[in-house]
Amino acid sequence: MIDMTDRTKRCITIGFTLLAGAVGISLGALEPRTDDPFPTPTEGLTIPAVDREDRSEGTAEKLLLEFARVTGEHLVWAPEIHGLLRVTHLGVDRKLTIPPEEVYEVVETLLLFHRFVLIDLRREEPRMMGVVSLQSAARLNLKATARYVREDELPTYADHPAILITTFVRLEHLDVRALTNALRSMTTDPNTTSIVPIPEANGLIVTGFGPWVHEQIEMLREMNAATGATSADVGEGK
Amino acid sequence: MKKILGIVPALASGWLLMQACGAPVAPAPPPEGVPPPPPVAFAIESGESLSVERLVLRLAELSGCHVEIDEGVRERLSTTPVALTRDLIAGPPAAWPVVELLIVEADCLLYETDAGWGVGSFLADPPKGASPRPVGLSDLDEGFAEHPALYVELDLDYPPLYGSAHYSSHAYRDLGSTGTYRRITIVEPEEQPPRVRLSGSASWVADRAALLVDLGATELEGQEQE
Repeated sequence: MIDMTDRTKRCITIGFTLLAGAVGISLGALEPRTDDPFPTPTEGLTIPAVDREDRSEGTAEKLLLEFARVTGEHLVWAPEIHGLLRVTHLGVDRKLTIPPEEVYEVVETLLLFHRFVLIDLRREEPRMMGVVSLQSAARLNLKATARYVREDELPTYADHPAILITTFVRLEHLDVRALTNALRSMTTDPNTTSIVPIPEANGLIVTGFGPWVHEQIEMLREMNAATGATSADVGEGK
Repeated sequence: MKKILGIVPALASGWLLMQACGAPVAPAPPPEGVPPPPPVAFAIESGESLSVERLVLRLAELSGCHVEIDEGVRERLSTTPVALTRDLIAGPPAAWPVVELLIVEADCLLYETDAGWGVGSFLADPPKGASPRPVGLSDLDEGFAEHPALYVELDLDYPPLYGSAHYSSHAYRDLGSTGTYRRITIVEPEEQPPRVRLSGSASWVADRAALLVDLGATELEGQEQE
């Protein structure tokens, strides 16, 4: 048995501390990885009120540059979109302070209000998003860029009003063909929203912006459950 | 001697800690059909002075592979700015995927040639001589899905989704795009049930394949319950 003196113990402690520190530093130097596809920014954002004198402030371009800085996202935009962003004034009537946890949702709400859409290009580091305008020809192919999101991942996208997603929901108690006809009035913009019935799987493919898809699926799930319950009642002769 | 005794357990515990934290290991070589990663991290500066053409050629040189840009798109890519909002540094495994995103943004894809790789426009028909690399679902899982500009083709030999080719075409129209870089087609429509082919961007093919496989599984599940 080795008799460990105080000095030996101190050596062990110091050695361990130095090594642990070195390991920590080396891990920190790696590209950060997180399970959250949209990590909460380290700081919030402030959007200035409309300034009639200085028209270079409060533009969509400035907002997105700040958004990219605080969220760590890398944004990509075509020159024509950049031009549109520069001349788009957000029109906020008084100074708006956005807390870190609301940055994605508020910025995306403002973008969509001004007819800009974010394309979710890459969720691993370095995270990247594309910016397109619903006023450009790119809108015609937007739905093809909608990322497939499984039903259990929908809550993540419920706070992303400017990101298009597509999902599939099975509705075993409903006639999906009839349901699609009934829901036609809810898909107002064919460039960004659609509901396609898949009768063989008794389900629907729903495409649209994150919160819209999330709400539609919740509503459809409730309708499906209510119909199932009614059928069961009829079956039992209630 | 005592110092040595102190260092040995420290090294051992450090090693154990690194294993527990998932310390970086040497990256696995890319599968065949994927451009080799550069030996070091790749930096892309922001601003509009750098063109997509120069960026691609710079990465190709660093990665030690040959990339030829099609005559038809060379001029366009030489004037298309990278237009990133701020500087970006991509580690070796992320370098090609990041640059490929910029290639796709310019409506182009990366395809294999005898000499290496070609970059061409896929807005209408694929470039002459460009043929997609046939892949299976497992290939997508093993590296292809990370590459948004790689031109691949996947035939889903999964149980079909719909009863008729006509109906399937209608349902798929919404999932693809008008260009050839994101396309879903029905092959051999006379077959019952018809087969589905996805072609274009490897990342996009992987995304839509996941949807179709889930749909197929749901359909089977429904049939079993009946």
